[in-house]
Amino acid sequence: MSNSPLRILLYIFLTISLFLSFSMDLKGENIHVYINGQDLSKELEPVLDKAVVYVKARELARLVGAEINWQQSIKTLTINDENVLIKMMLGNPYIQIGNRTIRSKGSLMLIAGHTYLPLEDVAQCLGFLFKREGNSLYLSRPETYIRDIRWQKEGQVIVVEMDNIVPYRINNTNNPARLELELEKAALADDFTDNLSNKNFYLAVTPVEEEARLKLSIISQYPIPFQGDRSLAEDGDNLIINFLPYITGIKWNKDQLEIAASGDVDRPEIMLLTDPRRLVIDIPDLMLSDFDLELANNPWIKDIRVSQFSYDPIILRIVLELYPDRYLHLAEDIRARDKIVLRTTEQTSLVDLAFGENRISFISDNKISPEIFKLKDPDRLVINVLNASRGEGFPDRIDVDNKLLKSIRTSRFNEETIRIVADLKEDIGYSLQEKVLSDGRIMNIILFENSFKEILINDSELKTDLVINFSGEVNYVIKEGANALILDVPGVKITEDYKLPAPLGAITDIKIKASAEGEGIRFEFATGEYENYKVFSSSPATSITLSLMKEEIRSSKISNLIVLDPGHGGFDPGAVGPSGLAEKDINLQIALLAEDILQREGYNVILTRKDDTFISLKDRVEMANKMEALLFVSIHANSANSAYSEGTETFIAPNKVASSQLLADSLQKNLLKELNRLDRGVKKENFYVIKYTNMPAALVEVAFVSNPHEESLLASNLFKEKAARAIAHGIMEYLQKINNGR
Amino acid sequence: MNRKSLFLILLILVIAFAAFYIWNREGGGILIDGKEEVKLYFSTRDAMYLEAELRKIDAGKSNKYIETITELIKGPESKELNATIPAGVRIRNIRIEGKTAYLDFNQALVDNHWGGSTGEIMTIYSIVNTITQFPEIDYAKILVEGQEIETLAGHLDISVALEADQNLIKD
Repeated sequence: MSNSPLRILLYIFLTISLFLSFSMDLKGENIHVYINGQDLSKELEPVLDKAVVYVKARELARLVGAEINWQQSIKTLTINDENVLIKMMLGNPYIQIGNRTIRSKGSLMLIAGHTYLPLEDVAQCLGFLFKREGNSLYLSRPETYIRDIRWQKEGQVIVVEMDNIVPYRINNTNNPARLELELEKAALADDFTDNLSNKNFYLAVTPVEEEARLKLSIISQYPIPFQGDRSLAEDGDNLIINFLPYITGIKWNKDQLEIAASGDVDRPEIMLLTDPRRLVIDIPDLMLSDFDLELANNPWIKDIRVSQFSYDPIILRIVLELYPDRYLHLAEDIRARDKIVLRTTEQTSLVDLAFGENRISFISDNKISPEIFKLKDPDRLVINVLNASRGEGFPDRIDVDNKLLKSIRTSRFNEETIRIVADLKEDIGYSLQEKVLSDGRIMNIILFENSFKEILINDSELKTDLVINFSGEVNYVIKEGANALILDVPGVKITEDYKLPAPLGAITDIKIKASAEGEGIRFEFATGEYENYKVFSSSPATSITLSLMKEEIRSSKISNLIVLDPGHGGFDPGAVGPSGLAEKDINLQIALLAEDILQREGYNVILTRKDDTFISLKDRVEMANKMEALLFVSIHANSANSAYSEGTETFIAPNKVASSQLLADSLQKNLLKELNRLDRGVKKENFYVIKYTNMPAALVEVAFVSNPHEESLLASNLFKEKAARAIAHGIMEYLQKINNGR
Repeated sequence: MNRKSLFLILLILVIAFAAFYIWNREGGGILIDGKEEVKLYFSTRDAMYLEAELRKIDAGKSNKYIETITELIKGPESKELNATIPAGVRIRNIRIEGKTAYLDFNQALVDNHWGGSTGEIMTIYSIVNTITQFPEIDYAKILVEGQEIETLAGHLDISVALEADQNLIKD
């Protein structure tokens, strides 16, 4: 071949193909670069040269959010990240980072007009963790460091102490004894300490460095009492995992059995079963754990078994096998909430049931501590006597028909209880008196009379509130005297041990004396300056509530006001069921029924609408806010584009969690108990009326009007009454919790 | 074969290689058939969750946001899922400002809605979660006939732009 154009062309072609094949190689089809778990190979176009991986400088800077600058004259590239300034010269293996210089395995390269930099060294200069597995390169930059993981509140709370909150989630492991928490962009700090592992728990930390992800696995030999994402909360920059309490000990102490827990426990359900005679104690929301068992030698309990009876709901079951005729009852006077105490009860025989004008009496072999409570609709008093039997003169029924009593009924309520029911003609207070007879037996007397219990007084900027409580329903008259308010309550006795609060606010003195008009009490509240007074209770009432307004304010501005909000109304029917039932009607009916129950219990209730009118969401919110309501409950029936959707759910706004969560939990619990529908849970959504109201607020969705079965339930009065009762009870339970400071 | 034709063949080869090289460098992002796969979120039958269904949209056609929401309005292909948008609904316009998408629907979105808290959540978040799958969009604000509305069915506050709700997604 001669030196012809063809030959030159051939050379050119060979050179180009050589270059092309080389650069195709450089393109590194198989090299993958991941930043924080994301494959960014497409953008970075990694190339491999002498075992060093290079990436496009401009793209890297863009992806990590750094400024980049190329100075053509001095062939120098500058990368300016928040914290570091990096300089590299073309072909020079030295990288300048701030005032330091390091030698890189590669150097800045120019490929097809683009600058490429050695990835590993530059990434490390930029503060990334670097990991290489064959042709995969992983860069990750943690945004937080975990300093410490520890227990708090005696094993009910785990605190994950970290620099700042990063995205987190709980993995579903299908293993109740394993809790997996994943934290994105997190790493363990150098001085990390594990203060979690103990005899019951073990902490395993698995860093997924490729994705800067940290997996914390908490493993126990027992199921861990967490409830998915609901267990997680943020506390400043720390993450909190809330656990349910667990059992710590069962101990026989003199004549009682003490069950101790690591935190507060609810009242257990107790059943007596026979063959063998055994007491079954179901404790809700308590977890099994290693616990101390000290039963010593006692003549009551033969054997004991403890098990996690159920996980959903969580119930711990203790079975006590008893000796014949033995029985233990729940002690009601225990103050400590992290303890359940069962006391021994002697078998007793009840005889000689009798009645008088205002009393019921019966005789027992020994001292009993009966459980006494009142029920409404119709009014009646229930007396439960544990571990008892009926003897002489204790018939099933006595028809009385005097001023107070209709009849007295007795029955064996269950294996261990005799129940006495007094059918009352009105709601009246009672007291139990015990007299020791000459033969050592006990005469138990239930005395019916209304007695004054206590006065509560509260002062605020706007008003002074007075609450006067009685043991039963009383009629009363309030008069305004000279510098005093006079409250006359006829037919009520003053008990010996009443206490009066110190005067406060507009009240300057409180006196109690026998009423001028004969039997009854007169309360004299000496008053300082006030504008007017308002009474919030109906008559008769067990609780008289009145406020002395210090200045003229909107009449409805009262602190203990419950706002019920029946959803929709007027031209807005809300959802409409398949057979035409309109949500707005259901909501209103339930709200009216709930209002009635709450008012009878002495609460002040206002409805945002009392009839079929349209009220905007904004007006509903304004009404509640202006009246400074104590709480707000919106009542709805649900719907979805599917006949299959079913169940009960309650919503709170994500911006107000603390008290609203408590309120919603209480509402949901009571709704499920009464209605027995599918539990869709308590959820957080930005619903208008619960988001913008200033007080604790929840929105209940009783059931689905779009579901034919639930629509028929919602149409029935019984179901609506149950729903109303559940809502009223939910509210009252919440208020009790709040008032007990829980 | 004479030299001239060999020269030509080589020239063509050089040009082809060069062209391939350049195309290969500058290319990317264009899919073979010009279509893009998007996620559409529909309601599970019990209306507890949203579940994604994959669907191809014609990326070249009008705009991908409108295309995606139009597909969402059509409802799911799977029998296990339920539609989240009532009948008669049309997307009038989608405007992007910063990281927020303003989605303007016709009045049927309100008028034909079946109501209920759950029904409303499913409708709103099927739209929000679907549109925020595009990395350039973080927030969605729903308009009806060009106007801001307080609420769709009387529960959710949609006078503000919403973020995707990951808790609703079932994978």
